[in-house]
Amino acid sequence: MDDARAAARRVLTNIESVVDGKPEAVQTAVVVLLAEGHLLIEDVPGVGKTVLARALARSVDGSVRRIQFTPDLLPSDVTGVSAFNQQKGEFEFKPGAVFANIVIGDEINRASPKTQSALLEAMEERQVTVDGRTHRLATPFSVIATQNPYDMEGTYALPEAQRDRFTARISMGYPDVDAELEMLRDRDVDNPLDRLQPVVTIDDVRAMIAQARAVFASEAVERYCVAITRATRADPALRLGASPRATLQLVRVAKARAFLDDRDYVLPDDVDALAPLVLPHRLVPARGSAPVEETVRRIVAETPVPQGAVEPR
Amino acid sequence: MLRPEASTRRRAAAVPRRPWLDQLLVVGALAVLLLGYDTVVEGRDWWVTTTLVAGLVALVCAVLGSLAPRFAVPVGLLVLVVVLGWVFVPATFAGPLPTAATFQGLGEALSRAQVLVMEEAAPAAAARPLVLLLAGAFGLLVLVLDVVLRARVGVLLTGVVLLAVYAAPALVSGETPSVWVFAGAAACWLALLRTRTATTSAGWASLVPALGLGGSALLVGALLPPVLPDVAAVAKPWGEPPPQVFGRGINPMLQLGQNLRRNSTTVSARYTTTLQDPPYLKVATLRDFRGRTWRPATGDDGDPFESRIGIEPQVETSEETTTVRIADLRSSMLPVPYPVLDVDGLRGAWSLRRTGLTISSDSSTTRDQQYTVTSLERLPTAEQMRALVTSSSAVPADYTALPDDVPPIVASTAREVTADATNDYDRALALQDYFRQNFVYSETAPVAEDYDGNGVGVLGTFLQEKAGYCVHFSSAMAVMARELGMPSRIAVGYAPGRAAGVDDDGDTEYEVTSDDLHAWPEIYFDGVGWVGFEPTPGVGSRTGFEEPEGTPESAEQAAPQDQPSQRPSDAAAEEGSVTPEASAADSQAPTAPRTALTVAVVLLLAALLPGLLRSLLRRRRLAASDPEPWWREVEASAVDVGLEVPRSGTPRALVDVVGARADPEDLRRVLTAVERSRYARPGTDVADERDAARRVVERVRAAGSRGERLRALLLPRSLLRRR
Repeated sequence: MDDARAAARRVLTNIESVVDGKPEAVQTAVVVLLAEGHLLIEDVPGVGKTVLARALARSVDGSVRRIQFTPDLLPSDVTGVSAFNQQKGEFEFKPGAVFANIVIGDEINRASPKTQSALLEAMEERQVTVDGRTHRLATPFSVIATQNPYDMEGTYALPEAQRDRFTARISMGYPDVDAELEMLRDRDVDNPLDRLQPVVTIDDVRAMIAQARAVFASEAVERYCVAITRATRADPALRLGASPRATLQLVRVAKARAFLDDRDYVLPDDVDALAPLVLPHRLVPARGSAPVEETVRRIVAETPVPQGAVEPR
Repeated sequence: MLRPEASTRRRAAAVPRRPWLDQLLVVGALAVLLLGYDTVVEGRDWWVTTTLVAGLVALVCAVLGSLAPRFAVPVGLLVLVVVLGWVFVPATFAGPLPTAATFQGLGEALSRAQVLVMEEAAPAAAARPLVLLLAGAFGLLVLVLDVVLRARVGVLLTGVVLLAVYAAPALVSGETPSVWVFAGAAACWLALLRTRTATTSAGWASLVPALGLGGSALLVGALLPPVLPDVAAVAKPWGEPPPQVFGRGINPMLQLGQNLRRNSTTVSARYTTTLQDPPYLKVATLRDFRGRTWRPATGDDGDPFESRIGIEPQVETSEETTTVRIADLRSSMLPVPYPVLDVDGLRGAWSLRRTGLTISSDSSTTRDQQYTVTSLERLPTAEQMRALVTSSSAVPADYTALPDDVPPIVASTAREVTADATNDYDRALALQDYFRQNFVYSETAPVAEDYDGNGVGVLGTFLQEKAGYCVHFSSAMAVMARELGMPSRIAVGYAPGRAAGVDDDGDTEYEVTSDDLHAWPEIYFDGVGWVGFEPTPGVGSRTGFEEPEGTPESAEQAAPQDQPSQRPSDAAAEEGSVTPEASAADSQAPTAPRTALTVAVVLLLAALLPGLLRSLLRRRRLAASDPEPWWREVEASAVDVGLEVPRSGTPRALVDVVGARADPEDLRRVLTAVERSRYARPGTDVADERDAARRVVERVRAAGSRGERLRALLLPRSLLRRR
């Protein structure tokens, strides 16, 4: 277990060396990787979305594919095609971009809904079916997609149901003064991303994922997670609440966070920290109510934290 | 099954409850209303006692009302009973705890109070059972009002209850309480009403209009007395006390007229006597006259002892016996001839009142009593009487005290009538004759002409109208005697009655009826003692001692003077023990100081209780082997010192709050322990971090200002915190 933790730390340090002043975003990215989930990074251009995605991908010595989503991208570009091999006289499957350990999808909202849904289906099923034949994707398989929320023209915003496939959504935010200065110095001569070396093998990642899954989540914490997601379904400020899949993923990322934090049990604090990243992109606010992030924070604050056994009086 | 709709349920639950304000107003209203009970009970001591008790119960209701409303009434009741027991029957307590005897004692006292209520006429002396009854009743009222106030229309109902409390004394005494009592209570009630009808509950801000409303009600109440309900008028026809009017320490004067005007006549007692003339049977003595009415002496320390003492040796005296059989009379006061030497054959506990030598009881009544009274007959000659003076230093100034506003006609008439007399005896006779010869007896004229009563206000009218009954005659003659410097007082009891037959031994049996109820003046002659006179025309016979025919009686019968201390109590009857004053004085001892002390002790204990509870809880938690109690204690300590602990937070949230105050290493160790015990796989080892927890708690409690620490010690907020 300690080896796996050390490996996870190396990944963190490695990424942080190129992504300045965003430890939380980096940590979330690694947590999502350990939970074998998919990450949606949503922010304005130029704040380092792609840098984070690429740094994560580079730190792992696995297969990485990058897809630049454009309106003319076809579903088969993502999943792959069956082509007729004349020499062999049979159809042969040509794997698409999703056949990799880490898939970076840039500007996912620029692709047509059809293409988007091909990707999202692959993300959920962890397999693609072409011409009646099913092809399993690599393990681990993580999609790190970016999208620009303000660029509306010629985009197809992800439908709510589709966004549910992403484990977490983060936004980078602008760096603070020091971080921005640091960045200037780092990139004076060259792009540090190019110098980044893989620090873990794909086997290490598999081991990390396996151990993160083995972290213990007590019934109390599980109930806490369920209480939070159930509260989103009943809250008047929300038109659409969180799905059971959201609960499942909340517990999984909480485990991964506990693993990163050297614990073999999940704390309510893990849930508290991750719920605002895991839930909001799945929820639809009621007309005229507060922003979803705010509502989630309120629900988390209002949901009673599981305490220990009641003391005898 | 029908269920109440959610909306109505929610509304019912939304009745604004502000227990502290509610109770404050309720106790205020009750305390003001209690002032109106001064026509029922004498003195002020009972007011303080009752208000303190009611206030304490209200405090309990207020505290529990904001914490655990469902316990308010049971706990309030318990506190009420314990406090009453501690004040009124302290001897029954085992240490600080009440015993079965406490409840028994309270029950007995209450049944005594019942007897007193039935037999005493208002205003009654503040006997302890009566004070207990009042305090208990008002304590219960607080509880009842507390329950009533929880209902939606409770405030309106409260008004009805308060009105009943306002009317009650009028029903008993026939006197409507003062305007201010009504207005004050009404103001409190309106303020209460305002708290319920106010749409916003913005704390004290909404109290201002309430107080304004109450204040204006007070003003209106003061300006418009005619609109007040005149409960006395309503009460009169049926509020009259029963014929058994004479009670210990009450003022029988007030009831005499009513009893005399009563249509039915009942036989009160029959007696045989060895006295020369059938005697007056005395029940009560009224000494103090401050204007409104004659009242019994409140204290008689300075009074000379009566009976044989001070009788001149040459005055002839003899001991005579009178056997009295009570018929239809219920009273706690015994009709006896004056001056009594000994009483034999009584049942129950009776005590002798030093002033006036009357006999009364706290617990027994005259019902079915038969007793033999030995009394002293004094037979001075007129000559001897003329030689005596009335003014004497032996008699306290109370017997000559008069209010300032006696009409001048009283003094001028007194001087006019007595102008020819040269000594006190002749003056007294002149006054007596003046009334008997110039006045007519009428029970109805004073009422018709509206000068009924015995106060200063009616004296002048009475002297002009020259018609009245014993109350007027006795009061007028006593006041006139005082105007002339003669010590006087009024005796209340029965006129001699009439011969009704012969008993088995052949003695003449006399019969006194309710029509014989009477009041007569007594004047003190230094050397003979108190001598009764009869100014009322048509009643009894004119007092006058034998005019001299020869030499005075030989001095051999003057010996009784040498037996000064033959007090009636020394020869107390075996069955009816007569103890002078002691028990009566004890039963009227003020209860307010003890109540105040008790309330203070209860409050002190209540104030110390939270701290005590808290420290017990802390000790217990820190001694536990499980991390959970440690963590509770860390949290509670943080709450106590005023840190803002999130109500539903994780252990780490608490660490963020107390982090600055405790050693980080200790805190981390306790935190790890509690987190592991709560959230780790069951069976995980949890280190024993009791010491670390103790250090953390100590550091948290020690930090902060002195005020914060004191508050944490005395008023630990964590006790109120609900998870």
